[in-house]
Formats: sequence, structure tokens, C-alpha cells
Amino acid sequence: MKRVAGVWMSVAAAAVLLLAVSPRAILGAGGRAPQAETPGDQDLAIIVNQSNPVENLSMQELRTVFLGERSHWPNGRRITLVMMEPGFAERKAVLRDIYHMNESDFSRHFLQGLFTGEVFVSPKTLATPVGVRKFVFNVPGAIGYVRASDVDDTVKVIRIEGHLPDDKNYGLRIQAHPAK
Amino acid sequence: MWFRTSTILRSPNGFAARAARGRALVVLLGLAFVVPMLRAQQAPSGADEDKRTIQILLDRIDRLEARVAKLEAAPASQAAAPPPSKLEAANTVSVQPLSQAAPPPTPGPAEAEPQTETSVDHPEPERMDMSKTLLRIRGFGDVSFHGDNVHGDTSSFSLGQLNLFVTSDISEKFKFLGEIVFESGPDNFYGVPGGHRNEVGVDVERYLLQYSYNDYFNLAVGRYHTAIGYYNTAYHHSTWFQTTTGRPLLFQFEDSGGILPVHNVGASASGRIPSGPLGLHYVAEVGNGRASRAPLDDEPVQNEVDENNHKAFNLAVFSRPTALQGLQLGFSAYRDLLTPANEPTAIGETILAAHAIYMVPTFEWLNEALVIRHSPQGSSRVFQTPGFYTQISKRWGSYRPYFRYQYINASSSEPIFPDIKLRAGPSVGLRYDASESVALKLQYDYTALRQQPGSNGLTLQLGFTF
Amino acid sequence: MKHHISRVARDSVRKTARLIDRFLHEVSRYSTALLLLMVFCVESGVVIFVIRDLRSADREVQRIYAGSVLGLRGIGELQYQAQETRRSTLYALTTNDSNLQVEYADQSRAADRRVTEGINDYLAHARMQREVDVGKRLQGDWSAYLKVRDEVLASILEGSTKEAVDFDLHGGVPSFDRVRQDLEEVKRLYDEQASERLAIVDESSRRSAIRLVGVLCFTLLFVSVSVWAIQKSRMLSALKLAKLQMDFVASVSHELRTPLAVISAAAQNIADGVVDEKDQLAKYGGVIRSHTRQLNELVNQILSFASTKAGRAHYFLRPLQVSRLIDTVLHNTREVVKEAGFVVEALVEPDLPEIVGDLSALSQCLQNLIGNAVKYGGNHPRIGLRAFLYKADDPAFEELRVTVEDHGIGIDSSDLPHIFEPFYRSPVVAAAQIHGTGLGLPLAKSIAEAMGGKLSVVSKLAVGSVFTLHLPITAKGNRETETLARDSFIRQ
Repeated sequence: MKRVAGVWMSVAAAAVLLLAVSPRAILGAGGRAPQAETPGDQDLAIIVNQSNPVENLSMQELRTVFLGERSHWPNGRRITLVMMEPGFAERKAVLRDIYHMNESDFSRHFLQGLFTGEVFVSPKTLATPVGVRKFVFNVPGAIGYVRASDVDDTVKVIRIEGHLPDDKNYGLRIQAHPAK
Repeated sequence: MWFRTSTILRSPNGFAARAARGRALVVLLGLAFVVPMLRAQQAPSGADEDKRTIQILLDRIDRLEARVAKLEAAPASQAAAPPPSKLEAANTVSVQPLSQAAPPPTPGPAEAEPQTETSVDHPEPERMDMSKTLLRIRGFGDVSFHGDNVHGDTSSFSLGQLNLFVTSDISEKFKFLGEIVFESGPDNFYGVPGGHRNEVGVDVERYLLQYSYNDYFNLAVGRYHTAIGYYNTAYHHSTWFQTTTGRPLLFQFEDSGGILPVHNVGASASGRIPSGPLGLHYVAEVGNGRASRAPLDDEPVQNEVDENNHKAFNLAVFSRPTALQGLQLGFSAYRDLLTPANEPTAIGETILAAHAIYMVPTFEWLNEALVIRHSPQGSSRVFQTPGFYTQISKRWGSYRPYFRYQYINASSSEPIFPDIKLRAGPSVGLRYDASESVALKLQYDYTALRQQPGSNGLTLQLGFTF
Repeated sequence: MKHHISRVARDSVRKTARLIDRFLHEVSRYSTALLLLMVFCVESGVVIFVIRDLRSADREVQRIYAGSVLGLRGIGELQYQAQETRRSTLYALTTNDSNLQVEYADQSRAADRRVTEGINDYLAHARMQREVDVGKRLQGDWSAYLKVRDEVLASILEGSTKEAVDFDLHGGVPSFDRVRQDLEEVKRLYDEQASERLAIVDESSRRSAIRLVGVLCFTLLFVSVSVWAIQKSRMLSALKLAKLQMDFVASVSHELRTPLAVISAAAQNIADGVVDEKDQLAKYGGVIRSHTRQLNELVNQILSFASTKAGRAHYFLRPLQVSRLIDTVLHNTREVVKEAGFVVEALVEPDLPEIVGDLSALSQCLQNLIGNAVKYGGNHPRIGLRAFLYKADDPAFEELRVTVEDHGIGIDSSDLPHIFEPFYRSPVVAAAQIHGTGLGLPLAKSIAEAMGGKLSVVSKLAVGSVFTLHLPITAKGNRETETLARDSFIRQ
């Protein structure tokens, strides 16, 4: 019995070593290298309600909010995440650059979060960028995303890592021709 | 899925064991050819029996939903004064409270309401209208086919737990969460089987009212999964979420022979600890703890009455450092006092657990270790039961192979669960996500036992969510 | 006492009747056109008042429409939009689809914007303090409701349905009720304003009706009185004419009888042989001749008057030297003037332009004037006869004037307007027993007007009179026309 256990332990160790030497294979979509900027790409603006006191979020904080790991803003308002329906380039950019997940991983993450109670409210899904903007306008704790060109003065754009859309070092972009 | 702790393969000689392994290999190969056929014939044509089973389950869900709605409406209707007809009459008042509004089919230019302004100054506040709250029910279930070489066991199809995950957004701060689980098969309380084999029973496995004040303070009251380690709070009564076909030995449910107080009834506070990049979180719980009467002939989770005045306390701290997304390191300490009937003194129970988890969508590596200390009062003797497991898996497309090794070693004279003794062994398997909601798993388990031959088991499981 | 009172009353009535009679007599002198003009002016005045009242009523109605009716319509629209704001919020509760919820939120906000604009518009047009107060209260209550509505919408969109219900129940319902009450009060204000304005219009209409009725009654009375006055005036004129004709007959009878008596007596004497000497025969012959001429002149005058009255007067117009006219007149009036002991001092300007006229008619005209000068000359036997050219700044107004001046008894100013009326004899003349037919001056005036000129007089009692014949100057040339004399009497 001990020998059998030892064999299985060896197999397990080998698997760990194998996976350890290929972190890229492990990380998969998790540690994606920054996409090269191509002409036609547009900036993705992160928008919040005008009454939201937050002005700047780091990428990590943004991810925390979008993953539902953070439930309230500093002013006590509950965070309501607004997503677009699957198929939109904006949603694809968010899944790629913020979540590092695909659609099924995203669905599973929030379902599990609700299941465990870590996530209090699942994201809302709107059909159009205008709908996202109007939702954020109406809900004080809402946070969403639209193309920078779809932003108007009813919502506030927050900085990510201190940068606004159209800045040179702004990190969230919608690819005009997403890589297959 | 219930865990067959007592059904182990006894092999008097090596030839029989080799023959069994050969048979298992043949089954494995055969299934490897069956899987592509299953994939090509997903929706319309499954196994007729599975289809019939699913239909039976769906019908049962409909009946249960109606019953749940009735049960939830019943306490409110006892307190409410106005009959439904009064509500309907009140709909003619122009100044209406929200809950009395008649819904339109689509948005657009609304029809003009009649301008008859009646002199209702302030309508009476009415009770909560259940139809207007966002009650959501999500379901999980599984069906398995398993076989092993334990004497007396048969190869069987088994209904797994049918889990109705119920949530309701009461308000911005309050939310209700519940898990109503229908399961078949006999219970196993500390090695003591109870109940009938093929009957389906219902358990309220989780029953929580959650209050979220802010990120630093959340309170849940009711029945919850104790925050011991990682697995118990990450995975609940749904096999679809889990990579493997079943929970690790350490975290088996109480009614399946588990040794941990997986469930607790009380209050649980949790939240973040301001710690910058460390990402510290805390969990502090108090509850009834688990029952320890032996022989146990009752529900081990003390839903209604605590067997003693001593409450169980649990404190857990874990870190999710921002430097490495997906990494979680934690520690927990659980303390309770058990008063088994067959022991002269109470037994203090201390459970210390630690975990190191790395989990990203395409890769996971779970490692947990704990020790259960039982110390009878008035005695210097301490019974320590260590246990650990490690689980690793990687996803390639829809396929996810995995490996797990687990170990428990309890003393034969362990006062609370003397039947556990030594259990250790690997599990290897493959998970295939046929769709976003359906997963097919094939798993081989080997369990080594103390002073007994090890058992080999093979399980094919279809887990789903709806 | 009673007898005294009744006598005083009767005297008063008589005095009033005499005053009215005198007034009507005075009024009857003026033409009917003048009376109609007076009626027209009175009617116009009243019509102006009525039109003013109608316009005022129209303005009030316009104000009622613009103020109250449109205002009530606006408030109705506000009430509907306020209900729409609330309704859209309630609809958002009925769905779990966030897209639909956002649509309903949009509808609610669009409706609340319309309400806010409507309230601001109401405040901008509010004039009375009550309107401003209720408008500000409505504005405050609406803002309070919108705050609750925003919270309700946020809760619905976040998924906290029960919380949204609670918000609305405890905050939205009472605040919306206050808004509803404010809108009702605004409606009541409009109703009150409309009632006040309707009362004003009603009053104005009543006033106009009273005025119209009054005017109609007055007009009826006035027209009746005017017709009665005109009829009476005509009757009086007819009576007066009849009296004048009687006087004329009496006067003509006397004028005829007197020379006839003299002629008869003279003839009788001659026939009886009382007078046989040549000198006496010549004297009696001269008497018969002069009285025969008088009779002839009288008959001619009567016949001329009759022909002009009948419209059968014929005048032979031709260019005429003024000197010739004067000579003719002097020749024809030599004997009368001489017999009366008067002297006619004729003065004709040299180089007078020719005139167009009938020599015999113009001679008759001047002869009548000279005859009157002799008759009414009093004790001053000098008669001035002058012909001259009247020069004006505008050559179109130049005319030839022939004046006959006497220094006799003159004409009273009250008689001046009537001296050209046929058969008119001044009471002064009648009292002085100076006989005449009353046709001389009317005939002279008629002849002057037929020649295209006129006859004017300036006179002063006990000083004398100057009669002026105005004749137009025409272009030279032999132009012979024949016209019928206008019947100037009819026109009078």
C-alpha cells in the first residue's frame, strides 16, 4: 500500500514540476501579455455615477471591483457592476484585460461567488452602450464601461492607474481587430 | 454523492487485484470511445433513462417551487390584515404604492390613467409582496454511475444531491440565501448508517440572512458552512462547481461520515482587513457546533437545540495578495465543547487548519492541512487527527484532467469518530465540460485503509446546473 | 291752496309747452339733413360706446382664454406628466430586465423634465402673490418627490426591489400626494380667475345691452320728436306761406286797386267833362299813364314771379356791356325816381369787361333794387348806382359788381335772412304801411342766380342799405346760350 501511495505521490510531483516549468501554460489567459496597439483600437472608459467620490483606481482595485470582491464604495454605496451583453467588443476587452477570463469562466465565477455568498449581487447586463450609460447615471453606486467616444456629461470617467482614456499610457483598449 | 467509507475492496490475493485493475482499464478505454459519441448527440438524444430521470427531476422541482412559495407566503399571511380583494380595490386609487402597480407589457408611451382623483391621503403600508421581490432559484444536481471492489457494494446509478440554491435581494443591505437539498441514500453519522437506502430526503443545508454593511463588515445569521479551511466555504452542495466528483475526505458532509463540523447554526461575520497589497480577510463565527451524541441517531448539525450551553467559535484569516492573482493563504482555528453521551466528561474540540490555494480559470492547485484535537476534560490525553489533501488540475479547452491525494489518520481510540482510522489515497480523473452548464467527470479513486485492503472505485458523474 | 297749486302747475306746463314749441320752431328752421346729422352723431356716439364695450369684452374673453383656459390645459398636462413620471417608475419595478428598467427610468426622467419646465413656466408668468406662493410650494414639493423617485429608481435598478417599495411607500406616496394637492390648488386659482373675468364680461355685456336699449329708446323718441317737429315745421311753413299769400293777395289787391281807382277817377272825370282844358287833360293823361305803368309793372312783376316759380323763365344770354345795362336801368327808372324826388348817382368804372347776361332780366333786377331804394329811401333822396370790377388775388375770383345804395330806413338784422323769401314783408315795413308785393327782391335774386351770379345786401336800420349784384366775368366772344331759370324758390 505504501508503495502504491508512493507511486501516486511521484506522479503528482511530476505533474507539478511539469506545469511549473511552463508558467505560461499554467497562467494561460491569466497572465496575458499586453496587446500591441493597432490602428483603429479605441480606448475603453470606465464610468461611474457623478456622485461617486472615486476619481482613480489601480488596475488591481479595478479588478477587485469587477470580480465582485469589493461590495461598497468609500461613501457606503453598494457597488453595482454593469456589463454589456455577450458579443460586444467592449465586453470582450473587459473579459480579456480585467477579468482574464472567457465567457464561461466569467459566468462560473459570479455564479460561484453568489453561491458562496462572497458576491452579494451579480452584475447587471445591458443591451447597448447607451443603456449602460443611462444605468450608471441613474444608480449612484454603479460602475460600467463604454467606448471613450460614447461618454457624455451624464457620467464620470475615472482614471485607471492615474490615466484617462486618450492618454498615452492608458491600459484598457478595445481592439479593432481582436486576435483570434 | 455519498461516500462509501465502509465499502472497500478486499483482495485476498494479488491475482484478483490484477484482474480488477484489468477490468477497470477496459471500462476506461470503452468510455474513451463513448465520450465523442456523447458529444455529438448532446441535446436531443441522451440516454433514455437520463432523459426520463431529468424529466422526473424537473417535475419534482416545479412541485417543490410551488411548495416553497406557499411556505414562504404562509407566515406573512398570518400577520397581514387586508385580504387580496382589498388590494385589488386599492388599485383604482390614483396615488398608488409601488407594490400595487399593474405591470405593462412593454415600455413606451404609457396609457393615460383615469384622472379621477380620489381623496386617499396616505395608503396603509402593506406587507411585502413576494411576487415583487427578486427571488431567484438556481438548481444544481448530478447523476452518477459508480462501482468499486468493496464486498457488498454493487455498481449502481445514483442520484446525487439536487440542490436548489435560493437567493432573494431583499434590499441594498439584506439578502437571503438558502440551499435546499434533496438527497437519496442512507445517512452515515460517524459510521452509523441511518435512514433508508433509496429514499429521497430533504435537508435545508444553508439558510442565511446576509447583511452587508460595507466591505469590512458582513454578517450572516442562520445555517452556514463553517469557515474551516478553504474547501468548505468555496464549495457547497453542488458537484458541478467542483473539479472532482466529490469532496475530499476531510470535508465530507456530516451525514456522509465527515469528521469536520461542516455546517453550523449561528452567526458569521466576515470582511476585509485593511492591509494594502496583502489583501487580508477575516471570518469570525459563533454557533451551536455539531452534535456529538453517540450512538448518533439524530441530525448531527444542531439546527434547533444545542446539546450544551457551550458555543462553537471559529476564527479564520486569509490573504489574497495583490501581487499574485489567484493565490490565497489562510489559517483558521475552531473551538467547541462536545458532550458525547457515552463519555463521562466533555471533550474539547480544537480544529486548526491551514490552506494554500492557487486558482485561476485554467489551473488550480489546492492544498489544505488540518489537525483535529479532542481533549477530554479532566484528562491529559489528547487525540489528534491530522489530515490533508492536495489537488491539482489544468484545463485544456473543455477538458480538465486532475489529480488529488488525500490523507486522514485518526486514532482507533478516537472518542468522537473512532471509525475513521487511516484513510489515504489518490484520485485521478478527467472533467469534460460538455456545455457551460453540464460537466461529465470520470474519476478513479484508490483508498488505503488501516489493517484492511485498499479500495478501488470508479465513478462516472454527470453534474449540471439549471 | 289746491287751486293755486293747480294754476301754478298749469302755468308751468304752458310755459314748458311754449318753450318746446319755440324750440321746435327754431329747430324746424334747419334742414332735415341737419336733424339726420344730429341723429347720426348721437347714434355714432352710442355705437362707439357699444363697440368699446364689445372690444373690452373681447379682450376679457381673450384674457380668459389665454389665462384661465390655456392655464387649465397646461395644469392638466402637468398633472398627466407628473402621473407619467410616477407611472414609469412603477413600471420599472415590474421587470427584471435591466434594459427595460433603464428605458422606464428614461421615460420617468423625460416626464419629470416636462413637469419641471411647466412649473418654471408657471412661476415665470405668475403675477399675483398667491400664484407665486403656490408655484414655489409646488416647485419645492416636486423637487422633494424627485429626490425620492431617484432613490427608488436606483434601488430598482440595483435589484433591491423591496427597498424600492419601502422608499416609495414612506417617501414617494406622501410627497407625490403633496404635489397633487398643489396642482389642484393651481387649478382652483385658474378657476377663480376665470370666474372673475367671466363676471367682468357679464357686467360689460349687461352694460352694453342697457346702453343699446337706452340708445334705441332715445333714438326712437328723438326720431319721433324730429318727425313731429319736421311735420310741424312744414305745417307752420305752409301756414306761413298761406298767410304770406293772403298778404300778397291783399297787397296785390291794394296795389291793383289804388292805381285802378286813380285811373277810374281820372277817366270818370274826363268822361264826365269835369276836366276839359288841355292842361288838365294833359295832367289827367299823365296820371292815367303813370298809374297804368305802375299796373303794368306790377303785372309784369307778378307774371315774372309766376314764370320763375313755374320754371318757365327764359333768358337770352349774350355778351353785354355794363355801361349799356346801366343806361337802360337809368332810362327805365327815370320817371319813378323823378316822381319820388330822388336822384340816382351813377358811377361806372371805365374799361369794365363784358359780361354774359340777359339785358332785360338784368335791367329788371336793377330796376327792382332801385325801386326798393326809392320806396324805402326815407327822407334821403340820394341813390347810389355804381358798377366796378372787384379784383381778387386769385383771378378766378374776380367779378363785376353793381351796387345800389340808399340811405333810407334800412333793414333789421332779424329780417335780413327773410327778405329774399317770396311774399315776405318786414313787420317794420308793414307797420310803416309801405306797400309792396314782397316779390321784388326774390325776383331780383332769382335773376342774379340765373346769370351765374348772386345778390347780397348789407343794411343797417335807420342808416340805409347797399344791395350788390355780383356777376361773373366770362371770356370775350359771341356766345349765345339759352337757359331755363332755376327755380330758386323750390330750393328754399
